[in-house]
Amino acid sequence: MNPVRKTQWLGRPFPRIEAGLKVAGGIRYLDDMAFGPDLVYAAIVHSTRPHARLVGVNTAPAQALEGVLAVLTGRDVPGRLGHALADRPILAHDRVRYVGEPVAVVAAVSPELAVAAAQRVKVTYEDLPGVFDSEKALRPDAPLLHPQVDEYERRAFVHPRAGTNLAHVCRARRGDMEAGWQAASTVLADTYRGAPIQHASMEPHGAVAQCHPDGTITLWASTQAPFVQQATIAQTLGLDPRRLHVRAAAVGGGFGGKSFVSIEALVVLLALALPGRPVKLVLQRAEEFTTTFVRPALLAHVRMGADRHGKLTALEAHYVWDAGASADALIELAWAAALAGTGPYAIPHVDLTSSVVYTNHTPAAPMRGNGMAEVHWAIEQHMDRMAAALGMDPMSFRLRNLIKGGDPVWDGQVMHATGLEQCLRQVAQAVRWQAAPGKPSSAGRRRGRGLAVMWSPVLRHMAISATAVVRLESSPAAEAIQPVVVEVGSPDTGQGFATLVVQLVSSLLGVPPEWVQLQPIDTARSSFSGPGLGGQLTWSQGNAIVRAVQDLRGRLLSAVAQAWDEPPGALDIVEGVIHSHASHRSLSLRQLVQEGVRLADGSVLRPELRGEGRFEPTAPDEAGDEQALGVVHFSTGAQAVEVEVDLETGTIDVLHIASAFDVGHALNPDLVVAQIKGGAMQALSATLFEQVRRADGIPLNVRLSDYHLATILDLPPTIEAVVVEVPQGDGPFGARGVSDHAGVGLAPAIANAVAQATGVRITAMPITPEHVWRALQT
Amino acid sequence: MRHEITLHVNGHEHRLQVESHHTLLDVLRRQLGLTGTKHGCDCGECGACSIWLNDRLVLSCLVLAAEADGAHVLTVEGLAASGEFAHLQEAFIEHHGMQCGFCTAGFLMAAAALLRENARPDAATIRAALAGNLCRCTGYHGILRAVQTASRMRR
Amino acid sequence: MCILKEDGRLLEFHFSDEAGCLHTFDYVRVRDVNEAIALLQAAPGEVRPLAGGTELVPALQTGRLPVRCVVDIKGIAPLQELAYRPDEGLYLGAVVTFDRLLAQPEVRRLYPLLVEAARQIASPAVRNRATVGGAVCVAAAYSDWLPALLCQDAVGLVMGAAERRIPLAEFVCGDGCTRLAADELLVGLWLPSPSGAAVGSYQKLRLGHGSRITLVGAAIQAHAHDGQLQDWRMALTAVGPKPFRVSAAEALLNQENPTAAVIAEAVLRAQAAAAPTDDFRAGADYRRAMVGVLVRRGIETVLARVRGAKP
Ligand SMILES: Cc1cc2nc3c(=O)[nH]c(=O)nc-3n(C[C@H](O)[C@H](O)[C@H](O)COP(=O)(O)OP(=O)(O)OC[C@H]3O[C@@H](n4cnc5c(N)ncnc54)[C@H](O)[C@@H]3O)c2cc1C
Ligand code: FES
Ligand code: FES
Repeated sequence: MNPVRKTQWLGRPFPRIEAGLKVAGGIRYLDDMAFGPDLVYAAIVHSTRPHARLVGVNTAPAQALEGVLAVLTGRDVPGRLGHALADRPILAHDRVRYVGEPVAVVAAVSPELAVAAAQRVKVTYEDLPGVFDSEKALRPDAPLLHPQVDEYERRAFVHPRAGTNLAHVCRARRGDMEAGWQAASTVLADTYRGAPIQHASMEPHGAVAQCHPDGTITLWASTQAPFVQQATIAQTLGLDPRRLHVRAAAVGGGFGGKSFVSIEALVVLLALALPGRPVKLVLQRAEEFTTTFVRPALLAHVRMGADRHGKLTALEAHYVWDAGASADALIELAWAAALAGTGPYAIPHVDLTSSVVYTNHTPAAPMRGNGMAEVHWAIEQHMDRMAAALGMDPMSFRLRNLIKGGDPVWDGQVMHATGLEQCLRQVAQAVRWQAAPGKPSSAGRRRGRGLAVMWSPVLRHMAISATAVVRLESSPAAEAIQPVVVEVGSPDTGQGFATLVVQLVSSLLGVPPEWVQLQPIDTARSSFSGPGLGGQLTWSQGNAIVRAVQDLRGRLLSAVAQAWDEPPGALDIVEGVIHSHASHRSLSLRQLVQEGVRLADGSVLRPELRGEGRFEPTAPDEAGDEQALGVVHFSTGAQAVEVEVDLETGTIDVLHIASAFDVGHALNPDLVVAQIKGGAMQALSATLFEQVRRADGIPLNVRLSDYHLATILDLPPTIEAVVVEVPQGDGPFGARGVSDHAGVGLAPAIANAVAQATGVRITAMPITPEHVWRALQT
Repeated sequence: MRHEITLHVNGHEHRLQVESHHTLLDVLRRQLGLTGTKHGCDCGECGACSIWLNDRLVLSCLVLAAEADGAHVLTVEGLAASGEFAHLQEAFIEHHGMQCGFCTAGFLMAAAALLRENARPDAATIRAALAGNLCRCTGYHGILRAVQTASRMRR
Repeated sequence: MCILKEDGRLLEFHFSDEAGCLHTFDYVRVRDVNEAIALLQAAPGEVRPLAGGTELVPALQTGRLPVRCVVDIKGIAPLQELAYRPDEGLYLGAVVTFDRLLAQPEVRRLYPLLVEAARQIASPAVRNRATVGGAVCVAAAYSDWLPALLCQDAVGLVMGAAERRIPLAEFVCGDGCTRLAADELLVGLWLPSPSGAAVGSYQKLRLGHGSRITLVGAAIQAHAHDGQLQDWRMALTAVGPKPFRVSAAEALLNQENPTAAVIAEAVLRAQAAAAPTDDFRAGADYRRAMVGVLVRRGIETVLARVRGAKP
């Protein structure tokens, strides 16, 4: 059956299904759920040292408080968490590796008491020398965070180096570097730095766990990846995964910060210690900065060569990621950086290395774009500098080198069709790239424009298979609708995925959207799905849904076709009614569900009312050639900005943002545009303001007043989104994801615009006024 | 220490036992189950807990419940029930003024407070009125357009 | 949870106070100044006045403050007073909110600098609660409110065992530090009438437009008499342990016509008076340089405003 046969509800605006509830305050996030009078509250005892031996943890003063029900320490919990590399204790064992690391956890009858009890736990440390810089961490004399890293459990594509702080290193190569440098007339090398930032979803992390009399445990969590949590926690605690049911609450933003296990294992532990009682932990804002995840700091060494005609000949880059005390969440990011570390360019000779390094910082996890924002910060600034060195216009230089459909990528793999060039042309036009710079609003200010292109890979490594189930359920006769229940494994974290599911199912099955009901996710019942990183959600989960609907539809139509003695091809479902083009008979789905369909002999046929879809990309050959198997497809796009810089203070006003992304097929154009604009502003905030500041591992700005996030006052007067659609062969209806990488090109575009306006180049994020001012002084 | 207070919340009177340290946010969420008002930072820095206290926009995490004895409180649930700002709610839906929705109640309360005082605010006034509310998802453009649209729809 | 730190001088990271006290404080609402003072005197240091609560309420949540009782002073009538008398000046009761201040016609007409600074403080929801007295008692080194008040020669009216009048420049003695004794109350601020038609400008530099933390602030005010500007006032914030007036620069501007050269000299004097330190928010050299930019812009803005242009 051709999947693109019915797109009634696709490709056009469709309101967000849960919007009505959201504007009435009716959506229940984790902290809004009621758990009854037995609810117990947890609080974490954090490490106050960046690196120290744990000499003692005295819990007695906490336990002495009335109303304190349990205090657990690392002694109670062996094992380490990790889904690719098990390198993170749930509670510190013999040493602490970052400020904010959970050392103990307390459960008490009120939240205030839990905090007070946590404050009474006495921890004795013996300080160890720390490492606070990924480059210093790689020196031979650097103190080691995980001396036994090579003994940790890990997946085959993780490559730690014993006796070093290198948790993982991967490399992607093609061509012959010598030849590449020889062919170059211009070679330029430099280093770029990306700052550690925090995902800072407005809803903090939270989780509740309860151990039931039958031995099963329910974990309710604000999570982007319920199945990852189930598998990882069960494995670490030595539980049968079937005993642990993870239920996803509505999620108030995640951006990657909720794609792994952070605090959820702590409440599971307490629930096991306090059978029957639900245990709740909701983080304070400061703990978000210290105890969950941060986007990793990046150090990017880039060396690029081009010939006299402006063709790129060679690129060598080393991306060094500051993993903090745990590298588990960065393994796939490191692979993405290696496999997409050229930026979207056709370069014959390439040598890319991506290293994940332990330091005494809060563990890092990808944030929106899976490392691509950081990689493009380096590559896309370097492209502008190459253009300048070659005396070329940055746009023409890019056009000359953009990767096109059919260009080779890695061994045996070629680039698919892409709207990349169209994206670049569109954003350039939007900011009037060819025109002279606009007149600044006053003397002492200068305007500049900048642009950047990007790509972002969907990796096979991350693409743990996705499944979906679609069923028709019987409902009370009084109701007018025929429920179509859909089970998927990935929650909607705000990007509008649930709305997309409703559009897909109603269009494909041929039923009104109101009939489609998305089941809340419960790993005990729902269909498995991976963590949804790197724009993988639309692709893998979308495909699984398409297949599930096709499966159901096929069952229904073939049963009816059999009963009516017609070819299935003559039948169709429109608005919930099965019609025959041939005989003009019809039968409502509702009737089919309730009564079945009568055969010629008078007997009743009841088709199975359930369809299942699995989407399982070919598994990577873990022992074989990893780089060739790595990338499923690339999403591409471009961003351009106009800025005005105050030369005296260094303050930057972004006046105009134009973003264009090739989304394959915009299944819901309004949602796509909303994602693109939201992603751009999040990136603006990261580019201009955000940095987790630390002094020798001690966090300095753990409040939102000192960790400035863009406000509505920072919104540029003009912000536009252009949707480019070059269908993706293996995507559902040709669609690609966009929400994950919608901000990737913005930071270098701003840096390029600032350089054009001022003549100075800022290679370290964020581009604060002080940074600009300092650069202007020299 | 315990206090007995009276609160008029969304038009209903409640007699409540509260502790001195409980904030108005705690009481609305925990005792009254009005969870539409969100807890994003507990120190006035995110705006998710915005409500109206005696018809003024305030951050409920910065008010002790005991301080509010006898006061009238309006939360997003009350705003929605009254229907008075239905056009604002609809504009938020139409212009994608929300994604994850965690910040939405705070923005609605702040925007409604603005529109009540100034039926036709210009863009700069809207921005100033919403400057204390953070949104990590939408990038604010949909929110700005929603409030602009609502101000045009208001009779 | 709370973080014990002093800007830039951080020794160790604490999530919470070692002692970790439970929330056992009481809340009392009073209507009378003497009642409030009696309570403060009963257990000095352990009884805290509560005004708008924008600073105090979050601090109380941490369980870290050694507080046994908070006294809500918002209901005390004299503290709510907001009155202007041409012969005496402006009386600002300590619990007047910024929002109320901004709505007062005389304030808007006669104290443009106060208005410009207050408008840049926080957001509407905070300005609806935060009080003008609370901001003085918080005495933040990067306050936007103190420099504007300093330029009015404001005087703090204090009641406790005795009544005291303390000029604001003395009232605040450092970052977070005031001369107020633990059993005293700031009842109000008295601002003398301006010596002419006041023209002012508050220049504020921050990381992003909505950022709460001022990196450097400069308040400039002058008074017009028949088109002539006299009685210049200048105060800086976030470039020392407390906001302060720059009398050397004021003296120069009062003596000479504000030509470009004179402004340049005033800038140098302001920079010389500044004592910024390095912290994670900004470097000292940047702050010092910005004092120069903001002071010059402030003076130029005042001059332009007096000429009728409105930049
Ligand atoms: C989100 C946010 C943003 C802010 N942005 C800015 C900004 O941009 N610029 C700026 O300058 N400031 C800013 N502030 C600070 C704000 O101005 C102060 O928090 C506020 O003015 C304090 O007043 P309050 O009435 O709330 O004080 P409270 O919190 O009630 O009290 C603060 C302290 O002062 C004491 N106190 C209060 N009143 C008296 C009195 N009359 N006598 C004796 N002691 C007293 C209290 O005991 C307490 O210790 C911001 C604050 C917040 C929360
Ligand atoms: S919770 Fe009140 S402002 Fe953040
Ligand atoms: S919609 Fe998610 S924070 Fe605003």
